Amino acid sequence: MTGRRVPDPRSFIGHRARRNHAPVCDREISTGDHETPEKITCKLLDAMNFYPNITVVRDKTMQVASSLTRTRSGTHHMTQHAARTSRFRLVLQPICIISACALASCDDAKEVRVYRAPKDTMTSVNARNQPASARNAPRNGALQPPSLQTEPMRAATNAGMSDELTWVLSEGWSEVAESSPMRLATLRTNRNGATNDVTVTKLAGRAGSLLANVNRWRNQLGLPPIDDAALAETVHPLERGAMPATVVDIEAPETADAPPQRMIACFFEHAGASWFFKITGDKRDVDALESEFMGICRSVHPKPRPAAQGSEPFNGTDMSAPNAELPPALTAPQSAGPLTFRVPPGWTQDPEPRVARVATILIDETPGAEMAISRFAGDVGGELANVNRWRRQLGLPPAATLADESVTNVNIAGHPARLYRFAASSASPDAQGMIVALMPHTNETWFFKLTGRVTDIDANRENLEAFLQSVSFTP
Amino acid sequence: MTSPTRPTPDRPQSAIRRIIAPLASLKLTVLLIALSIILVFTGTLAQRHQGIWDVLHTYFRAPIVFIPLDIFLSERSERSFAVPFPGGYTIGLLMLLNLIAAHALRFRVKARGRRLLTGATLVAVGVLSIFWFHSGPLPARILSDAGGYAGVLPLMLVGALFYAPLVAGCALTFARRAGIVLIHASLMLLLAGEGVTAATALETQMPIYVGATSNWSQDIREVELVLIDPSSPESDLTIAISQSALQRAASSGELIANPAMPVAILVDRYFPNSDIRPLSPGEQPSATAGFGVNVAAVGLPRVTGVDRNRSINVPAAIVTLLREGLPIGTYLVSPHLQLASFIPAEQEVRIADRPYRLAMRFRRFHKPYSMRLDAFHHDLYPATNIPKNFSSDIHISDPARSIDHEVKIKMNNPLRFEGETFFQSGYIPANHPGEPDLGTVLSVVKNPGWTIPYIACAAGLIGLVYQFGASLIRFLRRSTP
Repeated sequence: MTGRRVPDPRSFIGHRARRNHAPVCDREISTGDHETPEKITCKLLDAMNFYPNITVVRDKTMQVASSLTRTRSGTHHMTQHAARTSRFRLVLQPICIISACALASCDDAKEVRVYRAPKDTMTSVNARNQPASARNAPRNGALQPPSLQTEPMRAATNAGMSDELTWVLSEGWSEVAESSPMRLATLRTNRNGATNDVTVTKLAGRAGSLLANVNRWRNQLGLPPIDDAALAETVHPLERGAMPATVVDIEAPETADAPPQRMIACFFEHAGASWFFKITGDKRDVDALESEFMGICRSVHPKPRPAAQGSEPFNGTDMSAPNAELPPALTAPQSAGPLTFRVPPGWTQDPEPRVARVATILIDETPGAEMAISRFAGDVGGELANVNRWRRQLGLPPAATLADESVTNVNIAGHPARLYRFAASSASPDAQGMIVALMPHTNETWFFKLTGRVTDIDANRENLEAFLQSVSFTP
Repeated sequence: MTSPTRPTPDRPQSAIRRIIAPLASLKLTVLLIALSIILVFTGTLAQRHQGIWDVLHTYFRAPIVFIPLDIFLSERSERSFAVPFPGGYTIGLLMLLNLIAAHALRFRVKARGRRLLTGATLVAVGVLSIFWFHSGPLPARILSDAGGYAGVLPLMLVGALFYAPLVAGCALTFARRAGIVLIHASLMLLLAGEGVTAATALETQMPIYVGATSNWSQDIREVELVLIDPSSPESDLTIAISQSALQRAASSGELIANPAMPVAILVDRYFPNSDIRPLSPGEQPSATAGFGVNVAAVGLPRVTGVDRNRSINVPAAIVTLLREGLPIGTYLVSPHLQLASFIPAEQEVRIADRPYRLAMRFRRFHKPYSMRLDAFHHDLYPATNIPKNFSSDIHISDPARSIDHEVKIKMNNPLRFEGETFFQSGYIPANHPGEPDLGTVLSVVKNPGWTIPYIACAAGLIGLVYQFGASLIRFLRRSTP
């Protein structure tokens, strides 16, 4: 038998160390005090196989080497046999290496890395792009980074926004007169003969810590208090909400005299006050109403200031309508594509992009009403074709001419435009209608289309005209 | 007396056969495939409660996994039992052993003498030519010359030339079984490729503001606590403590100390996912210095693989710095605390009358080169706000190696540089609507084994074609009178 010596792992390490000289500090092998021999072995094997640039075997080399020897000694018997046939040796060596790696669950992240890095230039460049408040802040412990200013705080300081919150109710919900002085509002729905309420409460400041509030609610449900660690399991941030908020979900098990209970609360901070939206009741009822409740919470947003308090001076372009009254105050300028505009109070630009639209503006508290801004190349078939397209959408017969249409000439951003109004012939209160401004501009046609119930679009006509006045094209 | 033409099996060979035989069992193959199906199924379900990277590391890149039974329930249970199950490493390793053992037992080299030598030489030449082809610039050039996907067929035809020696070598060596050998070799390569990827692949982000230069990328799945000594005018001495060390120190209460550190660090609390909120009136802050005297950290549930907003865990920690056993101060640290997107806000700490900066940031990887963002383009489809294309004009420089050139990185057109691939993956939006975007975010992917699955699939395809083609030819010959 001509057995081959198993190479000494220490000599192997030395060989690799001598062969590679490129200094890459990231690939040093670190050996923390608490690491198991298996883990160290794994690191070493891992490093030897996959990181060619090993230059430094640190001060614990001997420990590492001996642990490697121990691991190999476990397979010593097999290795002797393997030496007799080259095929088996070829197979066994990679298996041993892979086994060592797999069984030890490698983690090559070093515990403590010490290195020199060039000074970060991003901070100084970025400072030019930051608001003055951040730029001027001293770089020391007194610095209040912008991210510490919470979203509600920022929202409250936005021009045109008041300290109050408002929301949009889903179908089947109504706001009832409130008798309790503690409550700001009660939102009610009647389903399957049962009445369920969402209570809206506003308290000054933070109304105690979140944990204190959660424990107060748990107490109301007959549950014991929890600590900070358990709090994390109970709360989560509101997803896809118009404002950031914290959602608390508490369930109480069935007792001898009560079915299982559930309470969902949504907690907003706005303008130095705490707002709680809370639904409590039989778990089955709350489960059924959960999505609607979350929908209400997602719609919560700062209430626009009344027109008289508008802090931003209006700076829109002229309307061609004679004796146009002063438009209502608008919110801060917004933009979409090449357009800049200001939305009237109660209108909100939808951040979600839509196919073939420049922008979509939602009208608060009027579900289904919205204004779409779109633009298309050319004249899109001409004015009559477009009018008949809109008439068809409302179930109206096509018109042979434009003579009978309700149309007003307006001026948008200095360009002549035509403002049409259509209403479905139905006498239903839900009859749909639209007011559309059609504006040819360079080689394109722009549409500003307000759709919704006839009553809603008529109520918002003045807002639409004010909006059109505010439109301008970004140079 | 005639000498035997073939050596008789000796005792050690029999012993090897006895050891290998159970490993080569087809029943084991079927069992492993069944286990892998269960693992994939449970790993998918687990993403309801765990993040996708958590699942990857606990289910698939682990020797053993404890599967909580509540993943099969509609609600998460706090008192759920966990069942131990072989993890991805165990199943993958056993599959590899199973394949190797099957080959060692059942497959025989048919060639002898000069034929064997020629076959082995061709196999070696084929392996070298394949790796030369895939590691060289030829595939990328063929694809770019043909304009993207149109180049796939020419690439396959050219690639076939480089695979030809391997196929010829296998045909000479293994005769009829050459196809099967190639197919099995491709499976082994796939398994080994995943091992290489698991051990070496790294995906990080490189954010760069317009006009700024960056020489680092960061892994947003892991944080580090850094203590920076800015005293040198040229560079910062950085002491970075890993996330695992912070977590371990928080749970064990042990100090983090190292001769290179000017302080020892005690981790009072560690939040795997967190938010930062202002302090309530009358609420006592956890920190005694720095930003934490005005704010508090709140623990949040860890993100899961089914979160719609695809958010990440943002940890926070309360740490106390100790110098010679005496506390210097308690600080709240978190990547939440930042001057702007991707720019951590560092807290000044005075240690032995020297200023240091303390921050928890996403783990950084420094590069030997630097990249400057000259311009960022954000194109929209006409008449909409729907993004059409993002692109970054990048200037790469490394004076030490005389590298100084400009590249444009855009969607579906990444930059491959220094063994890493830079994808256009995001951007830093403006502070106000209507203003230009502030910068770009590049995804930096390092995966030395990225060609292995391609090679394995190509070898497998050729093996299948060879095997079925040879069978078809044999069948046609037999059926021809």
